[in-house]
Amino acid sequence: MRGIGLLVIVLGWLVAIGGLLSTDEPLMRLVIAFVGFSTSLGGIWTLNAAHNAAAIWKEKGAWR
Amino acid sequence: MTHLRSSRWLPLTVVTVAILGALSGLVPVRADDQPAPVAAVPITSADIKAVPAPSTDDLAKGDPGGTVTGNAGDIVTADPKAGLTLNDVVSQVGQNRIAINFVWTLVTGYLVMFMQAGFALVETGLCRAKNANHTMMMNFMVYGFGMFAYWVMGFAIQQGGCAGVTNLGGLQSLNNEFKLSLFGKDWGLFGTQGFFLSGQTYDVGVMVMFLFQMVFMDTAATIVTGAAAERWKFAAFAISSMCLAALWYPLYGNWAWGGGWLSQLGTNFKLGHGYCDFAGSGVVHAVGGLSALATSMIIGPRIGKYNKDGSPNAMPGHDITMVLLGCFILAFGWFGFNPGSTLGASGAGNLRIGSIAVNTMLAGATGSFGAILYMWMRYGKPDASMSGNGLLAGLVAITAPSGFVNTVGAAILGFVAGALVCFSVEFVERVLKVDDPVGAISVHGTCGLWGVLSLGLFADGTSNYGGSWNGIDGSVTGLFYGDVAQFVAQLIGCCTLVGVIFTMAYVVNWGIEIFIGQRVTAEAELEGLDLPEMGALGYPEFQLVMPGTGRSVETGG
Repeated sequence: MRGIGLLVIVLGWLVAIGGLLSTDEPLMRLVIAFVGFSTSLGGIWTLNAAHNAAAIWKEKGAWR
Repeated sequence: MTHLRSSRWLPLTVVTVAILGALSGLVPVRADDQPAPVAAVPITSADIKAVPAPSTDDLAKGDPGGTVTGNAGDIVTADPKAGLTLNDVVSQVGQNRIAINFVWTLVTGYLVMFMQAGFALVETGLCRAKNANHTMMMNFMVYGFGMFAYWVMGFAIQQGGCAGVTNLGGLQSLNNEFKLSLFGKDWGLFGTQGFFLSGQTYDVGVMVMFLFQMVFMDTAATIVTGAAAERWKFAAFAISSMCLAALWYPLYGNWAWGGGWLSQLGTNFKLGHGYCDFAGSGVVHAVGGLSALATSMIIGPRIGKYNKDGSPNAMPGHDITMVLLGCFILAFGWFGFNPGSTLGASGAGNLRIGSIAVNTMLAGATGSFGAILYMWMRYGKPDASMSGNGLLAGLVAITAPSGFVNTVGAAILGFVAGALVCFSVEFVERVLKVDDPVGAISVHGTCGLWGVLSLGLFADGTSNYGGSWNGIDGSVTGLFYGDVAQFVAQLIGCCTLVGVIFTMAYVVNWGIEIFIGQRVTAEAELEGLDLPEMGALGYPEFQLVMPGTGRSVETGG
């Protein structure tokens, strides 16, 4: 899951850069960049979920 | 009676004068009404020689009024026998401009260096007393660790191809940027001049640039220590900080400030003036904040921060006076951060430093307004630590746009940052369940990204730093003033921060986790890191520690 999260984060950046190369229209570039940014944030969410799946507070005998 | 009658008409008179005054400002002046330009008269050497200089006897009488000290006699002459020449005067004027810029950049750099003290106080105050020594030492040593790595290679990667900085004399020895040609465009990736500041970069202007850029890098490095405090192994911190200073901070710095591909988005893709980041909301704060997020995710939360159901527990810091004093020191240092980023005070539109300083003050103040209002309305009390974080959030947000916006824009974006940081702290703690003892991820990461975007919204198109920015003529103009493309450039910068810089920070810190481990033992964490990691308590008089038992009892107060 961590690897997938990292890949999605980088993919978001590639989407944004791809928007620059595929169109000259500023509004289209804006939309594509937003999609890329959101994708990267989704990747961070996935990566964090993978970390939380094995979080210290979920372990047996953890605090409280 | 006469007096009374006149006072009755006074408000009307004032209003009339005000309206007429305002109208006079709106009515365009016809070209015919302009005074005729006076033809420029060239100065000759004979004119220069005719300028009288006070004699030694005159000066020996003292100069209490300061009217004769500093005169034609103080201009350095190349050939004393020839006397003062036009060449001497012109050279002196040129050197004076560069000297003013050197002094300005150095002094503002010293202010930024002092921000390390502010960070140390804020972070230590927000941690528990049993970790005071450890947290303070991380803030202290990050200065040395970071500086060393930046001197060895970070500066060369970041600024090794930035030749053409006219404010500092040109910096022509930093003349090699490694570029990749892709899709018919040149993509500047990193600089290659200036490793160890040796060879041709042993230059007075380069030294000024190094000092200023080094203290900026150290600000980014010290952000991470706050988010990972109270559980970070000191050795892991040392390696991670050096990697930040040597690798991903300089890379992003190059792309934004060193002539790299982000700064060229304007020339290559017609995106406004390319990615703009006047003083580093993105380069410094978002890089630091996103590195803090990556590190905190890997290290995990402190023991006791979350219950088994995932609900968070409050773990208050031990000294709010340290926190707020630290915030004041940081706000003071920010007057170096933002106005200093002109890299000069003389020529090329640099007199805008006054506007930049006022924007900085305003955004910090409205940031604390936004935070205090948010907390007061939500929890019924004005929270002290979040008020401090609101001040810092406003300052972080204004850092990128400070050189391009007016005071209204600065006040608005600062206020938004103040409220945003409170929301973000809650989101990071309760939804992401990432433990950040000082709120560094929100203050620097979230508000750093907001600062980058807000430049693309609020830049008012009035700045003129030598007539162009990033090689594009004209002023930087944001979405609210008509340029959509500038906002796209800023968004591409944010995508790069999240997509590339966060990933680099995560991968390197994950490598450190594999090889030496990032986190201290549970026993050390419960005991407090002062004894196990540093060998001495921060406050030995009021903290009872049973070494080896994994427990400490704070008895102060």
